[in-house]
Amino acid sequence: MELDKLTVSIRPRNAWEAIDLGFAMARHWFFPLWLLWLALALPLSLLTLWLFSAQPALAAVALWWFKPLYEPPLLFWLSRALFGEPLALRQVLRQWPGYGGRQLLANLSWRRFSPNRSFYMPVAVLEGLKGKVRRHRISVLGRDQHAASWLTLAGLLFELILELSFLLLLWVMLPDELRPLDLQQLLLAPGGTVEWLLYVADLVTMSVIAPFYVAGGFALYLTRRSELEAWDIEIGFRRLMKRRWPLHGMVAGLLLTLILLSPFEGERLQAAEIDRGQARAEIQVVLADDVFGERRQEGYWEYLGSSERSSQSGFWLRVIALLESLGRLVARLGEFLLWFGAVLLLAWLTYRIVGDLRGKRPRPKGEVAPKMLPVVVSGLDLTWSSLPRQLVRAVREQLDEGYYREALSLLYRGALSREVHRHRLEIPGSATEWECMALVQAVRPAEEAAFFRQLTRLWMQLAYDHAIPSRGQVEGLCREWESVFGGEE
Amino acid sequence: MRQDRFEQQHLPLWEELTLLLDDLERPRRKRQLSADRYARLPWLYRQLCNHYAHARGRHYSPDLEQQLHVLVLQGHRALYRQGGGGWQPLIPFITNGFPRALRRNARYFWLAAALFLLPALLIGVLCYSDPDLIYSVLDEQQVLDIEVMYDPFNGKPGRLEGRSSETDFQMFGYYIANNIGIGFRTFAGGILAGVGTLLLLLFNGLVLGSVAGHLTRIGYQDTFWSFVSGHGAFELTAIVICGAAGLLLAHAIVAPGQWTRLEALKRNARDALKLVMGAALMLLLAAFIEAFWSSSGVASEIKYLVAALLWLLVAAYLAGAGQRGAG
Amino acid sequence: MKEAGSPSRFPSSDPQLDTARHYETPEGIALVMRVAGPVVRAWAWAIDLAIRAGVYLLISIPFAYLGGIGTAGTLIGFFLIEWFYPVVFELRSGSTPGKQAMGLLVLHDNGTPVALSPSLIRNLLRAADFLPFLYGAGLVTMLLNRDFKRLGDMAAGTLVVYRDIPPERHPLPSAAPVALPGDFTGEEQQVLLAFGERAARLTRERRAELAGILSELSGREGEAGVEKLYAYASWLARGR
Repeated sequence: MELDKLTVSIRPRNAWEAIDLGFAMARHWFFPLWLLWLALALPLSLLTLWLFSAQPALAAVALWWFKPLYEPPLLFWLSRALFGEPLALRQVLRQWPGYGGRQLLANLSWRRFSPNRSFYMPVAVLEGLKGKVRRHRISVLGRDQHAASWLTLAGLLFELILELSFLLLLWVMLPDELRPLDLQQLLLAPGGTVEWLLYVADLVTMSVIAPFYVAGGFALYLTRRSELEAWDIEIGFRRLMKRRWPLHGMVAGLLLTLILLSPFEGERLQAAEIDRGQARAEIQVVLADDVFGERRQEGYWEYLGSSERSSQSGFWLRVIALLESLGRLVARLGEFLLWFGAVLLLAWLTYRIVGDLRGKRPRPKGEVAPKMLPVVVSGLDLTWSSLPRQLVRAVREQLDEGYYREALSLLYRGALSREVHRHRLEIPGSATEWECMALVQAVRPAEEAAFFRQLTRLWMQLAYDHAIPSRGQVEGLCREWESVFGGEE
Repeated sequence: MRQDRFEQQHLPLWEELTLLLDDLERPRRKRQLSADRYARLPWLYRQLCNHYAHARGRHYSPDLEQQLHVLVLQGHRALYRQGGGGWQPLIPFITNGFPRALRRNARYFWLAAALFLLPALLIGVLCYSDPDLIYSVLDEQQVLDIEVMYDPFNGKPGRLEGRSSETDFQMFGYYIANNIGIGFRTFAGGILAGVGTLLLLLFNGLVLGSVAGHLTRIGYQDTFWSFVSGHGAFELTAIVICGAAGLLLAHAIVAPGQWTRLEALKRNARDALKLVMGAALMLLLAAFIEAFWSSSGVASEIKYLVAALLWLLVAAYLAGAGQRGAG
Repeated sequence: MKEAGSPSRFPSSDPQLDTARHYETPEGIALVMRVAGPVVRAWAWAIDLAIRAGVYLLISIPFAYLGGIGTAGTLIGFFLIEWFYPVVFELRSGSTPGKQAMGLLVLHDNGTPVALSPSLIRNLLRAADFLPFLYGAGLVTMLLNRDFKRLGDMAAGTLVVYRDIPPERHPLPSAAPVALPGDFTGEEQQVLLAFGERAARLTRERRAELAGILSELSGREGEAGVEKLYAYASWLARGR
């Protein structure tokens, strides 16, 4: 029993999370748990079938009732697997009388309806407590704990869901000729194959859910105890001791299973007396169970007189009539609005589609379809709207303010934009300044190309070498701009 | 550094961050802090991550560690939130996203169409030639109802009850709830290895085909076809698209290819969702047409004309919308 | 000794069974998300069901008097609630009222709040999870899946986790600090701090018993041993 082999993470969790841990355990060890359950349940089911061979429904009830008989081995196995010591299934079964037989009578009679069955099971099965001590322990463990009853109820619902799902699936897959005529008959008719089918479905779903239910309750118990007794701290302390005083550590190595399986003396934990409110709640839970009588609703027909209404209800009739006519009015109006909306929507869609099919949307004059026009070249925004209308003037204004960099940038962007938008030069968005220049030189007249080369050179010196051009150079470019691209628009 | 000093030193930062994160979790219009205070958020969060790493590395007390971890989680949720839940992208979705997604997955569409239409066609022809076959698909009462609905002397095709704006609305609601629900289920059935999708497509195809065949055989073709053809443009296409979405999921489950099943499923689900949402919008439109136009007493010639236009519109939309710029 | 198999929050190299999932953020922090299992989610769903039933009633009563248009309203309302009730709440606050009540939250696998399309996917696929009867498929997949995912969660890449609430800080006892003799690893120091924080919530007997394990270290037994451990914890947190 080495602590290092603890296979489950013990940390503070809320009750729901503890149940989830149990489900993770059940999933991880599903097959051994499932086989353990079947190992006891199958013989018993054969026995019940033999006893109640005429009434499979009774056999199913018996199978359900004796659940506390085949759940303890799962718990026992889990408590060992927790420390990385999974037992052989045969071993678990052989030891069954030792742990499984404890308080069997109580478990199979009044405790059968306890909503906390799986949560409290470790107290009896692993700790072997009974009588007053057991009650004491349970009252400490169960203080402010509600999740266990919800777990039991959920287990019941899950069984039901799985069973009905299974049957419905079977029903769907059954060929037409084999189906009984209606579903009601299938579920309610006594005797016959259908009830046997139900019995098998019962057995299967119970066996599937049982590992999850038992492990969920066990994890809840573990979490609660480790919270009350600070197991994580104990483990840490023991490890500390083992490192610094190895001799003591050897002895301490056994521990946790011992803690787990030995009763924690009730005195170590302060137990609260059950107060009246809690007692009343528990009594209510017990009384609410089906065993204590049932409530039945029955319907019958009775003559209540003619349906003529008194004058007082006449007022309400009129109100209702008014509401109804209002409804009709709203409907008429609504229909009109809906029609209107639909026509608008259709028109809009048609407009879009026609535009799309032509490959272009109607757009303002002077602009060319943007398909081949880059909006950004070398990271410079070339859209029409981003440039001032009177570009050269804007450049000069910036020169006056001393913003050479901005001025030259504007000039360069403007020139590029003109090439792209007015002369439809196809410049890819990724083009560098040199590539732009080469493109312009290839297509445009010599004068324009010379201007562009000059501009590009100045711009690149500024942009990459931080060489500020002289005012005269920029002024010269502005003048050339006017002769190349014409005056302002 | 001792835990206490560490806490004292950084507490103001944690408190400022908590304040910001709490404010951020409120609905947009109820937020109290100004935008410039949020500018510090990323920096604060990075600091917090540092502190948390320190607290873990230096083995400070579990409570402190947990307190910082909760704050880290909250910060992570706030900073890495993906895309708002707004509905602004609806229009680009209609004009581009949906038709493009459909064309990307055209082969699923054609497969779903075949699964829906071929059985329909087959059973239609069979029902047309064999008067008893319809009863193996529908029961007697259903057949009777359908015959009443499409009786040429009914004057309100497709309905059992009278026609007014009110019943039109009633049917509008019914068509929305029912048809879009069927569409969603057809999609969802795909995750069950396609079985659900397959069954729903086949079943709907069989019902439609048999009814069409039967009604044509007994001479109600005019009322039936003029009723169905209009909204069918949207409705039938949309159901097939939902089927395509389901098949997309099924493909990921059955043949995930180079991905794990889970990964393939996640990838295909994205496109499938686009198809379903687009189909839901089409079904909405179909419900409207079915409730207010198909059931009206307009002459069937006009209905056929409108139907032809609608089919053209749908085809053009699905084939053409969003072509531009699609690369 | 090796660190493997250490309990609680102390990390281990051996994979222990746990319901916590780790996700490493770009900042290099391992986020811990505690995934929620079928039981708690079933009850969250039941609460939502009750709420939805209430809303159905509220919708259908006034509409019942409005004739055809009322019927339309009822039907459309039912349709919207059936399919989009969870989507609306998941986008607003990360969880439906039922999940909120059970302390749950829907997140992407990477710990970020769920966005529109994953939310739509996981909720439309409810139709598949619901089959054949009352979430039969969803239940089976949740029992089979390590992260308790139903079909919708798998396709959408979402997790249902417990909402983390800032813990109540428990102050360390204000004992006069005493320096720890010798050198201790970080984990060991942390256990002592944890003892300082938690001891007040344990019974007196249990406290003494735990301190007894370290009597070799503190040189004291019983209540005096507890006080000595408090003093160590105080020194670890505050220094002299």
